[in-house]
Amino acid sequence: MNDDLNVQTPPTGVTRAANFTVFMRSYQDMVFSTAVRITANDAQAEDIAQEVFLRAYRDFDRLSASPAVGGWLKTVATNLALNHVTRYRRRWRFFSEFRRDGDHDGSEVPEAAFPAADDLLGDVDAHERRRVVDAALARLPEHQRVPLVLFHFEEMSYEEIARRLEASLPKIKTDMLRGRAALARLLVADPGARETLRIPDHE
Amino acid sequence: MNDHRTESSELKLERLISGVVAGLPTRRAPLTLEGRVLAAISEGNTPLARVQGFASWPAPLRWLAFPALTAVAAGLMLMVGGAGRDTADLARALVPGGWTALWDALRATVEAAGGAMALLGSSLPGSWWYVALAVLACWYAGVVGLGFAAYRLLRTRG
Repeated sequence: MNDDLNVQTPPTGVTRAANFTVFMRSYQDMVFSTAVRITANDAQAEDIAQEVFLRAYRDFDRLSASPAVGGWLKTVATNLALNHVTRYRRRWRFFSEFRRDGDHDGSEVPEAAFPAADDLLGDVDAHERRRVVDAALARLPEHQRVPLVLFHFEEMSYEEIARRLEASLPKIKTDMLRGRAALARLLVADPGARETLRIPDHE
Repeated sequence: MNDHRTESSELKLERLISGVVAGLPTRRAPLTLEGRVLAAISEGNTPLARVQGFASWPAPLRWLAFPALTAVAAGLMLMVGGAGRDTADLARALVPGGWTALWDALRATVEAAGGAMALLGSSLPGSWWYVALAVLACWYAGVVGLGFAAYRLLRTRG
């Protein structure tokens, strides 16, 4: 009799772990993508994703019943990734800020070099397009990449980005303008990206 | 007119990038992620101390940790180095009666260090201190810089 009961009702811990595994499989790609676009580093993004899910596990009973769980995970992943890059930036500012400020500054890019959005998008396979765009984003310096990701992927306003990154609004706007120009230049200049994104030759 | 053209160019660029990134699929998480999370859960790892490290500890704990660890290390060194010539001395230092010897050793060490500093201070020219401080600062900056460079190479490029 007791054996029957055991078979029919598995231990709570086992059920919880199984449910959490299913839950994690549903959201791990989104959490990892969020972190890797901000950090531009797979190993760091995996650490952050792990931390996000450990926090989720702590509150799993509450979260699993919440319809806003996706938003919660995305917010936590964004916050942890931002904390990471902010800490990293503080550590490195003294040693590397001057050099990185000059990297990939897109202000010199001529406007004629940018194709129309339709030309860039074409009918390219979405996964290939994602690979090309992520690779180009990862080549941007952090002070341009992070605000761009927050604006275009996390849908934050300029004001919110400035507040989160503890920077002035004009600096954020300038960084984003240069970042967009640099990103467009990288996409236009890279032969692989040109082919993938079907960018017509301007030369 | 020029400003208008610049604004138009900026908007065009913003729309271009928005168009490029719109609807991009998510990246696949590494296959190791699930295993890492489940292993951490089964080991009972708490997120706070393990992942975030010493820098994220509460401030009072961080301030207490250094003197506490230093005191523990100093106590051990004194016990082993000062009273530990043989196991009997070490045993005496560890029992309540040995605390007097431990205190005497600690006081003697502090007095000796103070005497050495006073002797050094009176015998060295003043300019040497500035040179020593400069060397110390350069050494510290070099060690910190090398450490950060190693961290950056191994961690962020890895």
